[in-house]
Amino acid sequence: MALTGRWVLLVALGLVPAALAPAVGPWWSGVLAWAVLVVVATAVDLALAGSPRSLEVRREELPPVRLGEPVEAPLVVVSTAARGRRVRGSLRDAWGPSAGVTSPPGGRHRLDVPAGERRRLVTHLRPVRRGDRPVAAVVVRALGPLGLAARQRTLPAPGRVRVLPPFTSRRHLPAALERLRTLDGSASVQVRGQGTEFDSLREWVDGDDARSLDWRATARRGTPVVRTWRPERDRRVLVVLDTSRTSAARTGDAPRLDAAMDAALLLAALAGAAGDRVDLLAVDREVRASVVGRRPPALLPALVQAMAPLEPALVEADWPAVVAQVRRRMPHRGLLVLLTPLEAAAAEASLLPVLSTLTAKHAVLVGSVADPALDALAQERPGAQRGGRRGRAGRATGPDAADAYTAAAAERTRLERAALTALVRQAEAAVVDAGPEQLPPELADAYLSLKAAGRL
Amino acid sequence: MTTSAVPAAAPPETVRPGPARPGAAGRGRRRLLVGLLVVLLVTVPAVAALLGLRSSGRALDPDNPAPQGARALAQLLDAGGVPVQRVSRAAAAQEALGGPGSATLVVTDPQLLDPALLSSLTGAAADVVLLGADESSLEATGVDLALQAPGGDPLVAAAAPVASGGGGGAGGQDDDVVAAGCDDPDATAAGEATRGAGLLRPTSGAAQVCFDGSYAVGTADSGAGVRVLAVPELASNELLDTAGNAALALRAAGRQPRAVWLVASPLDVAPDAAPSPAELLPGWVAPVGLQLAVLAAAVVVWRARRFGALVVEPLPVVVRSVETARGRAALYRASRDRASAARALRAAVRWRLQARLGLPPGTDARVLAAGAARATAGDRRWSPSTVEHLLAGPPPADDAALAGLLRDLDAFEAALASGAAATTTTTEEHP
Repeated sequence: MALTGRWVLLVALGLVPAALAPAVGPWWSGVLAWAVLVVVATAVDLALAGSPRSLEVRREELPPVRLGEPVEAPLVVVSTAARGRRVRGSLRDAWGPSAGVTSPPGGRHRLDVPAGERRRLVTHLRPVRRGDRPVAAVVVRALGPLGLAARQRTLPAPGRVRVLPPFTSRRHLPAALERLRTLDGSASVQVRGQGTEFDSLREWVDGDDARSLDWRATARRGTPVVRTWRPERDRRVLVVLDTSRTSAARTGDAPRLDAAMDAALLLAALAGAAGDRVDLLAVDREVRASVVGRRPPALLPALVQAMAPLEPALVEADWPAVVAQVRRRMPHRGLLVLLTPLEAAAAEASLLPVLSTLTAKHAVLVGSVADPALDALAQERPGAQRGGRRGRAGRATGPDAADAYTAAAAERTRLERAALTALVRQAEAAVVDAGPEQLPPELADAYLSLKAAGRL
Repeated sequence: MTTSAVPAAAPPETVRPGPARPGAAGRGRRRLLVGLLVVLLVTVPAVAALLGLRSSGRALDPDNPAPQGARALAQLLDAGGVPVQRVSRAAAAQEALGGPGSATLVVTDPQLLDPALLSSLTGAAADVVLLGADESSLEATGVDLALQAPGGDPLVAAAAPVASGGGGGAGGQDDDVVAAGCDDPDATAAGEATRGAGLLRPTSGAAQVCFDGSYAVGTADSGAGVRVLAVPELASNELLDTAGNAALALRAAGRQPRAVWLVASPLDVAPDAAPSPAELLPGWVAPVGLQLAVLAAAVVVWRARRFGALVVEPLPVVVRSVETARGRAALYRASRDRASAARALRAAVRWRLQARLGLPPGTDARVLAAGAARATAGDRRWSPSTVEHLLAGPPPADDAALAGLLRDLDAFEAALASGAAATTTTTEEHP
């Protein structure tokens, strides 16, 4: 049962009989009489209200939506009573806060379903957080004819909307693909390396490297002929996404994991276009998500679907177990992309000892989300402003001791990170350590460099 | 403006342009103002309290030395061996009188006193002197007296002689006296007294009315003698020396070895005489109040009912990634670990310098200093020895030294950057 504003108004009207009653009876008689009246009216109204039990709610399957984009969530309310009273009142579509209900306000619809009929209601969502956003129920309030009271009931109506990673770095994709084409034999630029494959012979044009002349063909044709090369194709790329506690830290507005996903998606799109086979493994102490053997165009949808429900787990990553997984999934040489934050304490203890066993067999590229706020922390000198306001003439104002301690802590953290990066490089892994905005394009560049160098 | 006159702690807005040492002048003026304020705050309440102690300002108050007060009479009684105890509450008067017997009760403004209280006080006193009277107070004492004009206000009538007496000055007072005209020994001893309109009349033979009805003697129910001064002003300081006023008042009030003088107040009410506030309210207030309470409860019930249960949603733990660095800074600060802080700052600068000069990690500070001197394009401030001391000197001794170290390192890096920029420019201009 729920009461309405009109019911409160009715109670308020009781002030009139309450004030008049002392003239005709005991002083409390007006209050009592009005209370009886209100109770009776409420009971009658409730008895005449439609029954929310006669309703059934069905949801339609929702398409996945990218974070930040709107989606409509329709809802069908069916009256199962063959005859009877119509249900009039309101209905609340009880989505969670992160589902971002935009209209109607609070997800509250007006409801008017005659017996035996059905109505379709549409809730507009704009989710504010990645992952599966579930909804468990709707709440129905069936008003009585007087509008004083309503029968309220919660009806089960399970559903969910899957919110995919936004993949904001896809704006970097055209530029990266352009660079990939210059690597390919299709453009007349030669990049040669151990792993490149012979592509074709063509006539020499001004600007080609003399070393790439194919002398035998030149002799045969009488004009200079050069060989062109193309990077190798069909290489294995395994992207390992670290979902352990260090990926939970927030840089800017999003956790590091989201930036790592963005980088993984750009890399996968690029590698897919380059003809490589891309797999995904999201892991901390156990495998959280895995995508194996998908080729474009099914690759990216499979990746975002797999990544959507991932959340950072507050556990330490188990790198030896990851090594075992890698060995099983990638028995031959390939590119291993580890997207893991290079946090000094965590990585030194677990990642470094096993890194050499990985680099011995595979090309390893480590992508780490750095925090631009740390650089800002090392540079900020709020004490200089504090001292400046004090305004001592004749003395240069400058940072105070608090600034020095803050800068020292930030510098110490950066130094530890730099030392760790150096250790990872010593283990013959390539490292990209950049902020959440720069990481995806820089990782793509690193991939292209490795590919150009034929190191895959 | 001299900076030395302005202390570092003084807020800037107090400093105004003006003659020399404006800060000192402003401070003096402010002190003066504060001092004046303190003097005012202390003296005003003190003076007010002293003035308030002087007297209550009531007419016929034994403490009041003003013309309409009665301090003269009280002091005369005192001097004559009849101590006067002034009280302002009926309860205090009852206590002062003690048991029935030996004291005179003098009542100023008995018409202000609750009749029930006056009646019980009369029972405890040996003699009663009423300064002024009305029907209810006369009735309360049980004396056989009444007012001549029933319902008339004795105070209004009594005001006439005082007004004329005051207006006529010293010379006109003889016209306003009247002879006793009765057998009461006190009245005959006084002979003449200030005239009032004939106010009192006896209701039986037991009472005597003198001076044309402005003075009467009777006996209360309790047997106490009751003397009523219907023209009470004759006991005032101003009129006490007129005719036989003093004799009449002194004899009336001095019959017993001591006197209790009650300055009656309307605040004195007999217990359970006044109606309770509830009885004074109109009848609709209680039911409307009850209905308002019901309404408040209704609003609570209306708003308290949720439209379904709250939706719970697990939120991820997100900690800002620089929190650890900030925490470390707080630890450094809390433990005053200047050595570690300085080491970190210097190591960071050395690390960046190594990268800039293309030297391997762990290069000796002396080598770095020599390279830095070249990199700063011969800036005189950064000689190799200075830079070496900056990069590998002893840890700072206090916080100020640490702040100084940070300042110097910042300046050094800025010089490095500008030196590098200068070198680049030079190279471009003269390849």
